[in-house]
Amino acid sequence: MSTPPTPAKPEVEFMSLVAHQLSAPLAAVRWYAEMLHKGEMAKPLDATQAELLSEVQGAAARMDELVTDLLNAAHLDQNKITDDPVAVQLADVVATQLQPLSSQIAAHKLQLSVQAQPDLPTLTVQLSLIQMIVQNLLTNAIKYTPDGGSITVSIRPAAAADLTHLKHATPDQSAIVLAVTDTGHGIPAAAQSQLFTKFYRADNVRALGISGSGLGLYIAAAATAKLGGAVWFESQEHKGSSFFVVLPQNSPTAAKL
Amino acid sequence: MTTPTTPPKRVLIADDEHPLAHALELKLQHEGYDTVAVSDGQACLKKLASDQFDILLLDLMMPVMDGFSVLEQLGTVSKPPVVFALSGLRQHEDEKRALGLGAQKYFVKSEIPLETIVDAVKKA
Repeated sequence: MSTPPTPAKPEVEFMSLVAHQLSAPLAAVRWYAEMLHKGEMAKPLDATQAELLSEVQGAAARMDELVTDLLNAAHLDQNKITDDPVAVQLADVVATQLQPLSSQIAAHKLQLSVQAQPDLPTLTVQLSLIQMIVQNLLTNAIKYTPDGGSITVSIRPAAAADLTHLKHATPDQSAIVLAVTDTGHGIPAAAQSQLFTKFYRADNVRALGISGSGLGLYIAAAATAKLGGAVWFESQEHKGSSFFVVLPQNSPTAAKL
Repeated sequence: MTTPTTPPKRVLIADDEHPLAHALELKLQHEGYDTVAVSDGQACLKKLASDQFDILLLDLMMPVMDGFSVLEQLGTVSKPPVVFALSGLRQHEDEKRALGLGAQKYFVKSEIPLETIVDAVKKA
């Protein structure tokens, strides 16, 4: 796939502004709901009130996701992600990003398998970018896999065929592949060419009422491109999808150090 | 004879988002803290010059004077409080800058529960 097109400046500034303006009132909604939920400031809630409040908290959490995605997308577009590259083991990043997702995985009875080949070299990358890639691919798999399905995460050295996805590949380049495979709803053939487009959501998951910002895969692709990598997928509707990311051991920003 | 009791810790909240400042006040007062809220950096420094606080919860983006300027000028306060910086959204540059200027912790309001801030105040 190609790098996402650079969006117009006013659009990016608008996204950034919206994200900032929404964040404070949203935090207020979450904090007051939290106080009510804990029952510290007033009488404990009855079952119906507690159920209604949990709907408020769920809606606020979904809005939080949207605001975070808007901000991340805007920062990627504005080249505002400037943390210094660090050496990381991709398996450690996956483990860290899986921690806050474990309750969702358990709630949906998903079978998770993480397979990391031993003795893989570290990647020298901007941590915030690699976190965005891993987090969005994992969240995507969890969101679009029906209850009881399975998700497999694998980390391996890149093979020659993987390197063909890179824009500037050299035969002796060392690179690592992250693959996230799910037994989810899959992507209809007609939707596949637009999947990495900002705000795009495939009709099949919209029809199922699954919420999402339509920014997760855009962010994963844009962050991958910034690290000099490439992302692609294989998918069959009703059977599942595999997303692959190949990352050179040293990102272009690391090479400048 | 009455037993002398430890006075409650004093927390100054500087945040121009009134609902957020009010939520912090409600929660901290409920936990037994003495709180005062101001809505800009200049008022924050003025309050610190005339009154003593154990902890300052400092929003970084405020009108008149922002939180970074407050951190830069905290050296002029005779007994500066422990500072926890509060940010609307996660910005790595802001986090680095606030911690570099002496903030002990950096909290992203859009990401964390109120309880996390209160727990940090308790441990300070």
